[in-house]
Amino acid sequence: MDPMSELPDGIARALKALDADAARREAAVDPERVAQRVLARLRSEPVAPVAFGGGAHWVWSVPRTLRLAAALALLVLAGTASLLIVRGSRIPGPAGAAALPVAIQADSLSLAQAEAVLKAIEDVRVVNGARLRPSTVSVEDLSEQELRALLQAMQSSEGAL
Amino acid sequence: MGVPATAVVSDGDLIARYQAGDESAAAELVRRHAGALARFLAIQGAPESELEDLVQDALFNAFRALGRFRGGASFRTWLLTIGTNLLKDRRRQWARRPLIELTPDVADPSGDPSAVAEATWTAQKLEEGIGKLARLQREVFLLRAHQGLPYPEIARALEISEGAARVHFHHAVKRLKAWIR
Repeated sequence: MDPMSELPDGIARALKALDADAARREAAVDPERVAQRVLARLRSEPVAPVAFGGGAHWVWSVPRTLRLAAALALLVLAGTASLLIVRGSRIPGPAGAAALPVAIQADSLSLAQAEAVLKAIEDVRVVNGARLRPSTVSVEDLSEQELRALLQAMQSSEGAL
Repeated sequence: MGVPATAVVSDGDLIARYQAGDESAAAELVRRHAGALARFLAIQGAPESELEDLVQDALFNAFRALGRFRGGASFRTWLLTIGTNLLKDRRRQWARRPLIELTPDVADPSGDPSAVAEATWTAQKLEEGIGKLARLQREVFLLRAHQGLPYPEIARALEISEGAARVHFHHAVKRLKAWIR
């Protein structure tokens, strides 16, 4: 069925007129030139963010929720590590805590919880046999497999707590 | 032995070739769809001076997002929806700067001045009306009435049900009819 036949006469006529104008404007676009420009950009911007319906959105190779969860896990790791440093080095008083604000957040973790989190992170660090130095780890550095392993390990840890 | 010169390579094959590193496949996809995309954006009121940049950006974004293209709808339909979203985004930016309002330049072979004036008026009203539709109404209307796509294809592209697509089309036509009356 011709979709135009579904339209009232007035709209169909107006749409045809509008389309004729659109066709005239289309003629000003050179597909070959567009192709060369698109290819040039694809070569020069291999991992650039792309815009969709509003602002800049990163091209996620894994689900966003997975990365957010991983980011939270890394935050907990940073907090826990800071907590252990604070306790281990016996930095006295509020000055030490103020210098490590994340440690304060993580202070609510019990020792068992902190150990479980650290173990989970350690499990992930040896994924693929490659040990990552904590100082080099960021969410963007982790592969999809590593992120999934991290989440699974975190979930297992949650169950153990 | 290569592919015969007369064989038509599907969009899906070109996408696979591009993802395997064949740049010429991407260029072929652009050549195939740039014109249709330009026309689709033009009928939604994209200014002629911005049209080629819009087409280029939409295609670039599409190639960047190919990993999310599931093939539920055709590549062209998917590309048209990306272009529409990009146009909406650009309109917000253009709204913040002075813009000369363009009037559709509708030619009438009869040369009758009153007919030309009427055709221009109705086309302008329709363009305004399309711009006032809710997003899904507008997209369904244009994909159906302008692109001639079947409802199942539209539904897959917009991730709505076929019934919802029909309802959006019905409401769009009703609103446009009232607008240009």
